[in-house]
Amino acid sequence: METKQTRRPKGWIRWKGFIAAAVLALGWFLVTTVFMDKWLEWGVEKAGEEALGAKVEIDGFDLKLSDLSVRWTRLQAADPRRPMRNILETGRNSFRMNPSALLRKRVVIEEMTLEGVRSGTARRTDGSLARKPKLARKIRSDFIDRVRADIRKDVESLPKMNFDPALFRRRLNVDSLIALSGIRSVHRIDSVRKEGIAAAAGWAAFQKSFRPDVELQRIRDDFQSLDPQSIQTVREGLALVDRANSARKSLSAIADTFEVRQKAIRADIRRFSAVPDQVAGWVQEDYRTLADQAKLPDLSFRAIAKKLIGGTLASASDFVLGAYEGLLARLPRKAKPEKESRPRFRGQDILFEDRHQAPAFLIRRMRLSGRVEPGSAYTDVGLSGTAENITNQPWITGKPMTVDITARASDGRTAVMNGVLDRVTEAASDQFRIRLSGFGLDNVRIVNSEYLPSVIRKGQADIDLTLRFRENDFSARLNADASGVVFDSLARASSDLFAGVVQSVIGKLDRITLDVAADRNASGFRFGVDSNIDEVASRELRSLGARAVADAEARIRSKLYKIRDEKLAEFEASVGTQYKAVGELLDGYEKWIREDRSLLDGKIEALKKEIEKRKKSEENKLKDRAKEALDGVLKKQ
Amino acid sequence: MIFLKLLSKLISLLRSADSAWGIAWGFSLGAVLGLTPFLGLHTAVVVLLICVLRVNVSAALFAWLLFGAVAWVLDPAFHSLGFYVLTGIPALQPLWTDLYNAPVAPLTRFNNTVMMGSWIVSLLLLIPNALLFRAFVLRYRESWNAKIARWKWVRAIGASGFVQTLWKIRGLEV
Repeated sequence: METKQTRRPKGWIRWKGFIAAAVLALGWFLVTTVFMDKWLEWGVEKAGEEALGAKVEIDGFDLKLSDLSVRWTRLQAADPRRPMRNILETGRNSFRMNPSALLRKRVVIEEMTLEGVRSGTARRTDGSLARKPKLARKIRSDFIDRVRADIRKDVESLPKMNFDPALFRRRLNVDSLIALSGIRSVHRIDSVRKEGIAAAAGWAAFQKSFRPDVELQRIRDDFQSLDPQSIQTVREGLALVDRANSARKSLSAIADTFEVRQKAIRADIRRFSAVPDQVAGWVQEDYRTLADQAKLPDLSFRAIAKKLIGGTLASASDFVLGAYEGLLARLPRKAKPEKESRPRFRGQDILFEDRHQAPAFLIRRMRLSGRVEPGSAYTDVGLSGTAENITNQPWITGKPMTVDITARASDGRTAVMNGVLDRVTEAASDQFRIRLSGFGLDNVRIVNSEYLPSVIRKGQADIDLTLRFRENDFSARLNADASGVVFDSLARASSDLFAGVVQSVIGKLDRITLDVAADRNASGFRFGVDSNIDEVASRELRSLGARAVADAEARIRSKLYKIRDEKLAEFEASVGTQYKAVGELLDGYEKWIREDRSLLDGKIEALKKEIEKRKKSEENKLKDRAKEALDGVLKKQ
Repeated sequence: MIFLKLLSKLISLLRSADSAWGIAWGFSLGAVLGLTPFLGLHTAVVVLLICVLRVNVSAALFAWLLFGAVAWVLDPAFHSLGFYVLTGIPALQPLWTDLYNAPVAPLTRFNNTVMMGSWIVSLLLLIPNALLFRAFVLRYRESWNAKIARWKWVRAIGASGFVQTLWKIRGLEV
């Protein structure tokens, strides 16, 4: 077995290979030129289908490499919910890509115009996908879910509107109602009274064992009459200061003991002096229990509108939040460059500072114009609008994406949608405002309302909806002004008086106004609905049942207040007088100690000053004597 | 079967009359293709070099397959190395930023961690691979070829009807 003899090298360049490579390159160029359009068309369609969940078809796609322009003759995107209709269809369109950006691997389109945009057009083929695309990843779903749950919980926790007509026909027996339901406040007051009596025994023991009066009086007597001016000598003054310091020590010992023992007593006093206020709350609780038992309605009726259309609002918010959640999955989000775990061979793309301010994909401005096809619920609606800064890396452009779309129907109705999707910083913030003028309410369903018919037959409304999302903050405002509202089967028989009254009130109203506010932030969730329905229905219900209900209310309250007063008087007699007395005693001791301390401090200070003065005077005298003695000696010499 | 095919290809390559340098550089350039991700501008450049330079194409294909399998195992290490080089060395940041903003350079996907990691490893191995493989080819031709042919089990296998037939099919003479 021998190896073949090594051939002599013929230079480093293989010319045949060079020609083969050139042929390969030419072939590649020809193949891509021929098939590039189809390939790109397929790519765009697949990406669109992935995002939309329904068929996206592009006809006549043409990429011209000479000027980097893209054009198509028709684009249609099917409606995922109505696959035989298109959610969007465009006519002939074209745009150009920036060549220098393309060499830097960035697709930048300065201006794109989508003309002949139509919505709701019929399709010849079914637009549903044979295989469902993978669900887009959920972002911030926990927060959105919490908002949804909060709205549902708030709506479901609204009290039932009890309005029993039988209430007006019978006279309420409050005694039997109390006997049946029981009154918790009585037991509570008794319990507190027992605790008060036990505490009072402790206070009495304190009063007996702690008698600083004699010592405090002695200190006061001893020093009150002392006059620092009457001190004859420095020595005498110093002896007095020592005595005052000793008295101050005794006073401090008394004050310390008092401080320790008064703390517990003062806590007791605070607790028992708050009892009358607590009792007011307990009695109110008892009142609510008795009122529920007696099936008395809440005549404040602050949440009638919320009760009536809360389900519809919750359902609408589900839809809006779901749409936003779907949008979130497709919106870019700035993240800190952290090492990620990626699929094999994919790696992680590290992004560096972009000096050209050009992200990987950017449509700086997109203009669109078109119309919603006549038919179904819509009638000849013209669409126009702009979208700016559509990009996958908005933190590079430093500008948020904005969308402004106006739809105008031939009958004058308009819809304006403004959106600002701010992904410039890591804290994403999105805001949407939708204003509908003359919005048709025909056949709008009312969800889960026990008191209203399930459908609005006709009517129209001006609606202004603003939604704001910022990290874990959500805020929504809805102002609606509806007129000409006619409900389906308003005259349906109902045994519920409340439903009957509400339906008759709504039937009479020319206008229905609605102000809805929902906020969720770090401080919690708030969901409020204000409407003229509340005011009018409340007035109607009051006029119907005011006397009977007010009488029942007054008798329950009167009975409860009588019991409360009796029990509070017992408490006052057994505990109230005691804690007031001991409180006064403590205040007296406190004042006494404070005054004695101040007196002693004043006297000590005066004594010190006097001693200083005397010392100086003695020094001067000594100096004079020394001077005289020295003068005498000098004169003798 | 694939293993035998590869083995036969390698043996025929080692015993061929091609120059050792041609085989070694073909092997080394094939290793670059195998170690780095396929989609990238560098693939076209390396393939062009293999076509244009007088290197052994079979050796390049063999190395592409062999190092492709190695790269699958080393992928996480390439990712870590690439991440460190792209983000962990402040002195290199201006260079990466310049390249990121330069025309054409971003098309090479240099800012991808696996791409960067595998580039570094394949470029570091380019010359050592060529030298080592050349030494291997020369050693094989000088002494291992005859020794291996004398191994009892090689002769036994070589004498078997199945392998004889296979060798004939593959165009090898034992």
